[in-house]
Amino acid sequence: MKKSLTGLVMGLLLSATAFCKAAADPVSDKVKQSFQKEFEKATNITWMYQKDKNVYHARFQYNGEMVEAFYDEEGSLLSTARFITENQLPILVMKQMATEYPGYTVRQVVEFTNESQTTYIVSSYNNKETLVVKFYPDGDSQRIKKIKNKF
Amino acid sequence: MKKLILAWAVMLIAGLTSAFANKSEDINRYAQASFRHDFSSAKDVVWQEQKDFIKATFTLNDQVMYAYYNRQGDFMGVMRHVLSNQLPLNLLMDLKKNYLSDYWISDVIEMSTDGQTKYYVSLENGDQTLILKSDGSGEWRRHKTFKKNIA
Repeated sequence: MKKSLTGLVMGLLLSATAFCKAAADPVSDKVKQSFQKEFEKATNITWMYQKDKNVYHARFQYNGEMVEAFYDEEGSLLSTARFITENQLPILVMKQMATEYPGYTVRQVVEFTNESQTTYIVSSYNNKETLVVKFYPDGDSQRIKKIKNKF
Repeated sequence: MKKLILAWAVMLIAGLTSAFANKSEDINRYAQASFRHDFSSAKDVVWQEQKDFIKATFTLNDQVMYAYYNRQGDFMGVMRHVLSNQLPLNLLMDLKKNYLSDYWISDVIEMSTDGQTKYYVSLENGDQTLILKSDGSGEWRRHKTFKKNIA
C-alpha cells in the first residue's frame, strides 16, 4: 500500500491533473467522519476515489496549505501529502541536497507522511534535466525519476 | 556530546542563553573548515567558542540556524527555530489534537544530530511551561515541565 501511495504522490508532482481524472465515488460516512475528526478546520474539500487501489483521498486547504489525505474504506488515515516550500525541509535534507545535487533549482516539494515515517519528494531541475528524488529526514536519498529537458 | 546539544536546545527554547561572539580568526580552524564544507551557502556567520563546543550562528535560505562542532572539527549538530506549520504534518496534527486546547505554542525547535532530526516544542499556559519532544515519528513525549513563578 505504501508503495502505491508513493506513486500517487509522484502523480501530484509530475502531473497535477492525474488526480482529477479519478472517478468521484460517493464517500462513506465512516471515511468522512474520520476526516472531520482529523482535519476539523479543513476548507475547500474535494473527494476523489482511486478505484484500482481502493483508496479515498481528500484534497483540501489546511493552515493555508494544500493537503491530500488518503483513507482506506474503513476510514483509517493511511497517509498525508502536502506541498511545502524548500525552507520547510529538515536541515539535514537541505544540507544533503546542496552536497548531492548542487546547481539544481527546486521546483516542488511534497511532504509525505504515514503512520511511522515522513519522507520528502523533491522535484528539481537544471538546464539539462529534471530530477525527482525521495529524501528521508536523516538526509538519505533515493532517486525516483530523471527526465531530460525537451528544448 | 549529544547531551550537551540537547541541554543547549532546552536552554534555547526556555530563553536562557546569552551570546558572546568571537572573532573568526580566533576560532578553531578545524571547525571552520568543516562548517564551510557542510554549509557552503551559509551567510552572516558569527562564531562563538564555548568550553565544550564551537557554535556557528548563520543564515541559510533566509533562516537563522546554529551549527555545533567539537575541537576536532566534527559536526555535532544543527538547530533552528521553526514555525509550527514547518513541523511534519502528523506532528502538527498530534499537537493540535492533544495539547492546543490547554496550551499555546511559545517556540518550536528542529534539532539534528547523528543523522537524526528531532523536534522540541515549548507550550505555555498560565501555570506552566511544558517542553515536548519528538523524533518525528508522529507522537510527542513530555520532556520537561517548568512551573511558572506567579508573584
